[in-house]
Amino acid sequence: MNNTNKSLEVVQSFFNAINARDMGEAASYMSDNHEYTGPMFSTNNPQDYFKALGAFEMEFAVETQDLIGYENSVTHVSILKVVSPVQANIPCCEVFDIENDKIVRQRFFFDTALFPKQ
Amino acid sequence: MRPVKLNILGACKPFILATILFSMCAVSCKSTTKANNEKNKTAESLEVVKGFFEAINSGDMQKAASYMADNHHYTGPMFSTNNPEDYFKALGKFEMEFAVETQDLIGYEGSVTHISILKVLSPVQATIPCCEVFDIENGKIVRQRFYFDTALFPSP
Repeated sequence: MNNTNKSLEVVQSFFNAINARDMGEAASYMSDNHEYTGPMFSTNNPQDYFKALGAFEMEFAVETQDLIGYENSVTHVSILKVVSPVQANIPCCEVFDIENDKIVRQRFFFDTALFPKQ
Repeated sequence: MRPVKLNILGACKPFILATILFSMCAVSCKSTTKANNEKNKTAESLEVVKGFFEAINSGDMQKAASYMADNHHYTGPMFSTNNPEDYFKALGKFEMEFAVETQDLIGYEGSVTHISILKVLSPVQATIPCCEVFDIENGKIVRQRFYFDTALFPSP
């Protein structure tokens, strides 16, 4: 398997785990020094990332629209579907950097104006 | 009369060997050609997006438009358009001076991801992390999907 296919597989598996709400499995695709930057929070390790994510107390699913990979980079274009307690559809783009089959950097872009108020 | 033994396999050996070698070469050449085509397409797509942003940053919107297909389709958080004219008209309405600072440009065949900082220079200053995903066909941008947080965008 070449780098591109492996990187795509890592990101695909990460989202499969996220959508199955298996955060332990999702974390297994992240490196210990996983760096996340997004409009609502930024973290430097998987534990802080899932803690920050959990603070939203919302049920959501990620609907992949495009998954574009080149070597160690993967662009994931998606719709973030907030399912409850309110509904919202938020167009998103995430750029992943993969090293040694683990996500080391995840940059998330979306418009917070579309995010439901808590 | 002594029977004649025909070693068909032996007689065909050079031919079989040549066929296998030719097939291997054909497969190898095909995959090399495919890899080269992918590389060339990626390089072309990256050049198109680079050229587009160079033109945008130098304020040459006509040149920027030359990189866009007639059916250029733009979607973003503040407006969406279906042709270059409407795109530049919508962009012009902001009456702001800005520059796009590229951070990463990642391409594969007809897709380019452009990660940047949108720097609003005047009448107010703002620094906005952005991501754009471009689809390129026949050397032109056909689709441009823009993602950023409008909360960081200065109020007019």
